[in-house]
Amino acid sequence: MESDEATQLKERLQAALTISDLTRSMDQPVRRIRDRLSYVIDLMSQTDRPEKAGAYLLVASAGQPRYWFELVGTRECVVGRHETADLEINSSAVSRRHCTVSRDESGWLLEDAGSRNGTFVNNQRVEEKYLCDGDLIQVVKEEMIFAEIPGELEH
Amino acid sequence: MNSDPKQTLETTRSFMEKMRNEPTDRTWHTLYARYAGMIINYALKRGCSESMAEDVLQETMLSLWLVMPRFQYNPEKGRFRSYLFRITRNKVIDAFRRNRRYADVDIEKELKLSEEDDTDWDRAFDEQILTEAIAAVIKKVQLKTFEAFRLTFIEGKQVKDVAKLLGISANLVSQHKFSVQQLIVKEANRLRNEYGE
Repeated sequence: MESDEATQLKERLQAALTISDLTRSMDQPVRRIRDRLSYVIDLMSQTDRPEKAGAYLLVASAGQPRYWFELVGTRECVVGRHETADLEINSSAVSRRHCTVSRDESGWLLEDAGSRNGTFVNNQRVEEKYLCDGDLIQVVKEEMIFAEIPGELEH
Repeated sequence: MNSDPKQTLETTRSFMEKMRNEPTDRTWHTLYARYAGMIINYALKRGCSESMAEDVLQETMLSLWLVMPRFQYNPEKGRFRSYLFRITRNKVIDAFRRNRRYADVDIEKELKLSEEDDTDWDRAFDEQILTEAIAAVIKKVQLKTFEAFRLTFIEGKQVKDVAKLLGISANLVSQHKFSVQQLIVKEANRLRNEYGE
């Protein structure tokens, strides 16, 4: 008869093998996230991070970081070609009002504003998406990384 | 899940200090390789869909990178794994919050995501250790040896039936069952040491 210890080990091994099968299907997305985060971290490493805690977009083009844009929770941020856009992108392929970022009770919402060439997040075209830290927003050739910079932390 | 070569990870004060002073690609990749599976596992256990679990992984690992340069490791306040749990738990809450279905819900209460209850996290860690241990042992033993163990110990088949299936003696099947079990336990203990447990 099996000891209690052996029974417990068997159950734990069964659980481990089950979860291993389940998570194996996620190997590809895990690698994809790793590669994307490596790129994002590489960009963020090349520039001084904002000192103030808050939500930001790191604007980059041609694989080079350019500047940090602070998102303000109390109003919508318009991204587009028009001179009145909060985040102006000077390219004819970008719509005058291309997409917006705003905050609601669920988080930071990115919405495509009916743009001609679409708004992409992590290489997927989106109509709207609640942004996650590290999301790579692509507006034509311009890239923006969404990041919520934390305050001081001691373990 | 672990596609990168295994590297020794010392979640000790010296390692944490090194991370703080030199947040190199290598260090971050080591952490990613070690903990990505665990983070995904925990998120799935807490009811996240696969895409939500991916978001949790992305956010947790970026959070880690963001705080590491200012991280002040204090072992008296707990293990690194416990610290990582707190970040991951918060990211799970954020993932549910981003789902409009939960807009008016007290997510922590609804999903029973108490800060003190890290049962699922501990379980995910145990499964991670055992998965790695099994993978390591499979490389060390012959296929038939592992099969004898798997069919008898894990699947509960009768020794005599497995002996017939594998074309070996019942005595040998029993030996394999015992020896592989011991190898897995030994490897799991070694891995726990490596994780700083």
